[in-house]
Amino acid sequence: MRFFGRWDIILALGLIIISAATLFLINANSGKTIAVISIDGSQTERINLTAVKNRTIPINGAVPVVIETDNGRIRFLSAECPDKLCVRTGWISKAGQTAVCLPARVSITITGADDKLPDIITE
Amino acid sequence: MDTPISKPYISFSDSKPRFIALLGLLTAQAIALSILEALLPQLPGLVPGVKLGLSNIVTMYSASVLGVIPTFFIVLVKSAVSGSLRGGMYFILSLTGGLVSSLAMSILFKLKQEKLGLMGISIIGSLLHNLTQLGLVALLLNIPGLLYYIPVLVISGVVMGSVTGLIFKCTLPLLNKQGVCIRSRREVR
Repeated sequence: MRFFGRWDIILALGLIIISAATLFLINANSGKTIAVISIDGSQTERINLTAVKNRTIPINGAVPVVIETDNGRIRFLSAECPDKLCVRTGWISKAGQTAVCLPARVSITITGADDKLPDIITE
Repeated sequence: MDTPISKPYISFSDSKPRFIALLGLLTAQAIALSILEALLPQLPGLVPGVKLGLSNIVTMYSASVLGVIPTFFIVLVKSAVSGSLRGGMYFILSLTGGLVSSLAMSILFKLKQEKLGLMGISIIGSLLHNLTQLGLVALLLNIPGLLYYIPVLVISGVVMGSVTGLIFKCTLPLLNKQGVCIRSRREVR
């Protein structure tokens, strides 16, 4: 049984190559990284990751979570959601990375200082 | 090249009992598969929450054999079960991903085109499922930054789509045994 037809392979490889190339082009820039914490869709806090020390941020909402920052990185320390996907994401530190807790509607996104994506709230 | 999955459809007017029975079976299978893959160990690679999409196997089969509206029904029920087990947000996510994915797959099957085989359709289905979910989360939680994950999801969609496509091809005879097309008197192949 032949599994892949010719166009299937073209489609699959084409998509993989384009995505891999895109990943290369969006390179993580070194330098100032800013973590943006959003709750329920609105940005509540911007943290300069390179300048922050170890610190925990509890967020009390319908689903409480605790965010921890460390030297240049940030993560969900704990969360009371059932699936804990956010906690399992672990530390994120590079521009473009995101951690989300869906039940709590809390997200951490890291943007670079010269990020091209439009900010909803600019500092 | 692949042969089409079935000709013709098993339609409601052909045989109501058979249609309903098949629909029920497929729905149950979709639910069972989604529960099964929730039990599998997750690979927290780059994006946690990337699922294997085993129920896409059933969705794809239904899209080709039963048509688009019955497939929507299966997706709806399966998402409702997922949502009741995992939380309201996941119902909407699963629903939109499944609807877009099955719509696209039905269109591809209806076109009876010669180029893309089952693997290609499976890949496109998984891809759209992932991207729709990503877009929805980005929209609802207002995280434009999530769009950075599009390349990752495309690659994982291709990989997962290939895996489910392979499983689909291997289990196609078993799936076909569930419903015999009575119009043409031969087994749906």
